[in-house]
Amino acid sequence: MIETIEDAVLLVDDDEDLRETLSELLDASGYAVLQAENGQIALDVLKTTPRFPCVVVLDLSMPVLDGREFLRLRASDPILRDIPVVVVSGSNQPSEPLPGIDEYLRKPVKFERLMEIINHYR
Amino acid sequence: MEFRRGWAFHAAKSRKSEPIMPRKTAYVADYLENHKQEILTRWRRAAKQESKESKRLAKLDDQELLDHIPAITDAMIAVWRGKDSSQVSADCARHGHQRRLDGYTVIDVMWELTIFRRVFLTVLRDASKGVEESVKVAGQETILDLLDLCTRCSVERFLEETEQERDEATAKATNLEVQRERFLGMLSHELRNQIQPILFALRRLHDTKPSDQQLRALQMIERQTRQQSFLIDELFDLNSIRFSKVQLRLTSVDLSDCVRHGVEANLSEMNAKALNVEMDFPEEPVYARVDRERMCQVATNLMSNAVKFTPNGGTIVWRVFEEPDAAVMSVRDTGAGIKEEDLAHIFEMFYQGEVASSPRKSGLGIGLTVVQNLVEMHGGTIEVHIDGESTGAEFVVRMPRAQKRKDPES
Repeated sequence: MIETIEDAVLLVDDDEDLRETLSELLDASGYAVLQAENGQIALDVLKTTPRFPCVVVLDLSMPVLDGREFLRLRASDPILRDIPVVVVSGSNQPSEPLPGIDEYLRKPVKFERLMEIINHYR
Repeated sequence: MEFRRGWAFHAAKSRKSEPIMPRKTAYVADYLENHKQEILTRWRRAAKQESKESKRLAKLDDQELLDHIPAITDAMIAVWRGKDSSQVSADCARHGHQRRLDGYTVIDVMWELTIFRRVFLTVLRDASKGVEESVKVAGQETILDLLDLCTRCSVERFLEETEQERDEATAKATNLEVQRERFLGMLSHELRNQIQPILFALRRLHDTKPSDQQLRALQMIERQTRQQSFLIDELFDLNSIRFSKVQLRLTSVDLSDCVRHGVEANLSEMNAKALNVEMDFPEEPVYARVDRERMCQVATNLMSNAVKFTPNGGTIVWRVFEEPDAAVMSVRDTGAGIKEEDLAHIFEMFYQGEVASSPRKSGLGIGLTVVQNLVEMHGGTIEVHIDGESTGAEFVVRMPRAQKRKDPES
């Protein structure tokens, strides 16, 4: 079975400021944070990290490999598809379903609300 | 645009039995040829006399008045000499084209050709004097057909070009709309993305035990950022509603929940004005078949509207109840009410009545437009009641009912 670091979160967003501020907040709440600036790097991180995060916080619009493509590749991977994903995007929830996501939040989202959801996967 | 019933056609067919006819028609043609100047002069005079009927005609000088009329006259005379009528069609089409450029309406064109027809027939009557009756009748028929053809070709070209111009304008406008939509979508997406790190950074600063002064500054930044975020939401709503892009995810939703959400979303503004809220809900949930997020938005916008119009210390009353055919929520404020003359406009975009202050304070004025659109998108209705001015207004939203049981996905 997948070995889960109880308190790690993978943060996938191309906005460096967002990654930095949210990392600090998560860190202060007792989480270890892995960061990736696009879907490709996120996949690399997941492939090389010795242990998996308990949840992925995923942006949709990113260069190189966007959130949708990440979700598609994740869905076809028997190991990766078991990691919960919370989408945090600047767009309204699209009408076509995103495969295998657990939550859709629209930016700007309150930290408390995001924490509530992340804590759920702890 | 084929010319079938013309006299030239009859003449050609019957030439064998009545060989005399071509000579006689040639005589008429010669007469018309010799009186061409008279036709044109009479046309100009008649056109000027009757210019009251057509504003365009009155403005043209002699040369402009003539336009293709001499060419059309020549073409018609040629038909009397046995030529086919295609030249008439071509000249008339060019005439229609030119008149459109001159700024005529289609009525002007028809009116002008009516005058031309009368003048031509008058001269023709003189030309056919002494001509055998059967030839005269056949000739007149031909010329009437030709004059009809004239009008048809002119007007047809005129309308074709007008339609083409309209289609091009429509295509251009549609393209602009598409670009605008894309731009607004991109803009609101980018703006939302930028607000997120600001909020997170502010949250981070809260944890650093700021001094009172720093805390007040933080709260100010937070307030302004939230307001900005609200305006961005309005911008996005405006975009998606204009292009009917909202996709509804229908489930069974308790309207009382939506109202609670709407009230909470306006809590800080309510507290700032020391408003009271009464919530008159039944103990049992009131289920409507709606999109939860969108219904919460309806309640939030209605609450925001009520808060905006209720004076400090006033009361806002929410009610949720069932009717046989509808799940109902209503909100009554104790504001200045709505003026009779404003009532018809309150759901219009950007309408703010007299309270209009800067959008920074009160939004873009699309809240109620969004509400109405969302409600109607669900197949619901919204009504507004007033008991005269200064006793507040009541908004009543009726939505389709849902089964008692909550859908699992809601």
